Amino acid sequence: MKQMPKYDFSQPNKLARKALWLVLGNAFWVMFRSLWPILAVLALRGFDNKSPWLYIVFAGIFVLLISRLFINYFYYSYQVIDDELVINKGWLSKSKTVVKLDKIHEVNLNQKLIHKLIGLYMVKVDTAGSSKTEIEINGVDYRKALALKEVLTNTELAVSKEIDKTEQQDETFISQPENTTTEERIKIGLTSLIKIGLTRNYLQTLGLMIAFSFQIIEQTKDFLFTEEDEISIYNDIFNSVSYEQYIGLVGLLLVFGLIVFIILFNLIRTLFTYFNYQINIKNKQLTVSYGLTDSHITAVPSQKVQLFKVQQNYFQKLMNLFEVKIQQVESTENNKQKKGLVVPGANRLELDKIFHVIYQTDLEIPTEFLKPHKRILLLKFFWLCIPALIALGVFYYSETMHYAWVILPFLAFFYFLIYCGYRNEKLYIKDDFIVLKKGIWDVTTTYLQINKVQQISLSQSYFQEGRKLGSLNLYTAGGAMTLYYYDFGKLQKLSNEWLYKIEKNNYQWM
Amino acid sequence: MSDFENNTISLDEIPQYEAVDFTHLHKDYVKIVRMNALITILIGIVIATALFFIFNEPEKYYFIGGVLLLSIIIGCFPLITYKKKQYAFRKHDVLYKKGLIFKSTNIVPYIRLQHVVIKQGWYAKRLGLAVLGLHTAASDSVDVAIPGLTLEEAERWKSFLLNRLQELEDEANA
Repeated sequence: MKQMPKYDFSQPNKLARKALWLVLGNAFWVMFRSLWPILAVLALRGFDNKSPWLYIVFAGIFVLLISRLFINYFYYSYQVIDDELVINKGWLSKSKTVVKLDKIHEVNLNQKLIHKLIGLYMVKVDTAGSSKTEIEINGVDYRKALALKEVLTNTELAVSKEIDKTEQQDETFISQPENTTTEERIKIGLTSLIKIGLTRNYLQTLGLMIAFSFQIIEQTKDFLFTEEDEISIYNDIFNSVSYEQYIGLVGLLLVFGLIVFIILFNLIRTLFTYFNYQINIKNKQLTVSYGLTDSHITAVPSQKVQLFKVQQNYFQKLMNLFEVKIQQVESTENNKQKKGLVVPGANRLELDKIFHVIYQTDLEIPTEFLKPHKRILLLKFFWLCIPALIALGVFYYSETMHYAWVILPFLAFFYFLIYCGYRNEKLYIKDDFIVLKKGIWDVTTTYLQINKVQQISLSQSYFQEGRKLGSLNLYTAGGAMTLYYYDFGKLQKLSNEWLYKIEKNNYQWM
Repeated sequence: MSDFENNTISLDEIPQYEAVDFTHLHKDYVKIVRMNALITILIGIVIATALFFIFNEPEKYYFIGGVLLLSIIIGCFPLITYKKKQYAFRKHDVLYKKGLIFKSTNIVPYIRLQHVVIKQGWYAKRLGLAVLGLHTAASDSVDVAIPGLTLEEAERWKSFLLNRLQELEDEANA
């Protein structure tokens, strides 16, 4: 095992030389992003613009942009003084960002494709609290990045050993050297990834599909059956087939094509993002690395985990695979970037192992559970009636009432989905854990440890009072858990008990 | 503290938040609510007049009526509901209750407080009232803000909370 080269972070450190390529790439990217509509117009016209002014302006903007980025690059330095990370920026107007090391809760190493090509990393420092202090040190070589990460997170040995391993993986993808430590590793193999890729995110893509399908069908129809062609095209090919059948066939083919496309798209996306997925478990800390074109190395200290989610749908159940989502502390105003770690495709054993590392306990879900009150089905039915009535109104005013029956199967279908959702929802309470299982197709089991709760909110509407129903929100630093439409008396009892536990134990949440 | 871990406690012995006596907001708070109602209705009137002069179609009166009605409802509703805003400070947590039709109770344990802020609007400043904002690390920005305290009360509660926080921290470290 090689010794780590020593880096002196107490002096101002510059970015690596090769990071100039990043600057260049970035400049091109910014240029392209802001000018692509103009470029597209020009390209359509075949670049026959006579006046050179446009190009001169382009070039001018580019030169300005690149000189600004170069100045940023040359005047950027970072250093660690005592227990503070100091970032110096700027040429004429200088700025200095100081972050206390104990406020740093995560340091990630990321690589985009361009980083991969030139072998540099972007060190991303996340701090708890305000989002303004998110720091990106773009362009540090691997060893230095790891050393920096180590200095920043004080996880001494955790990373130094990875250097050799991960480097080898990066370069040759051969098998790892024997690990002699107690460190454990979970590797998500290619087959698991393929399985998960084929079965995940249906709902998201289904939404996309619905959004686009009408348009696509409409357009292909227009394309195939413009007025003159209407007869000629399909008379030649499908002499015996009637127009309606042809339409049906095309529609069917389109739907199937779309489904296949979606599944393939999902698969490819999953493979690209999570290729070579590895979890290293050591000292209550998970270190995760993954990615084909963009690679990420992320450390997840167990005490930062707020919510632990396990997701599984019917197909995944058949294959004994789970998708794990670990939600960590979010920096408050930065909710766009959901902080969380996804483990695609872990089996039962691996899942238990991960759970054990994070919570230092195994959890058996008890058999008894609570459910929302049945009346929620009625309430949701009323909610469902609103779009149905709107649709009915549209049919009425567009004088196509004879098609109005279409609403009924839709109504039945959605109500069936709601019912499935209701059937799946179960609340388990075991020791210090609140376990909520819910979902329609993708059934998510959320584990919430009671000492992670920041705030409790009970609510009851006027209409729920009579039946003693109500809702409970449990807010954590990584998202909320909502118990909607449960027995209010039970919720009150539970929240009293949980408050008692939180306040008595005085456990840390982070 | 030490006897805590082993004892199994029956649920009835645990302090119940429902049984707490809540304090109403300061009586001057109604003035702020009235002022807000006035401002909302004024805005509604401004929009309505703008609509009146911009459009010429006779259908505009529906919209104008709608805007006026909406602003009156939005403006006046708090006049009925403000009495439902109540708070209570317990030894370990703060409770804040509100809502007439949708009632909710927010409970924040002191040990989860990140920071405590006192805010004052221009009108509240003239009345000597303040809002006590309690911030936790919860990500959905659902922080509790107790309005209608006198500035003095707010400041006293703030120092009380900070003291409590320190005590609890010392307890945890001991």
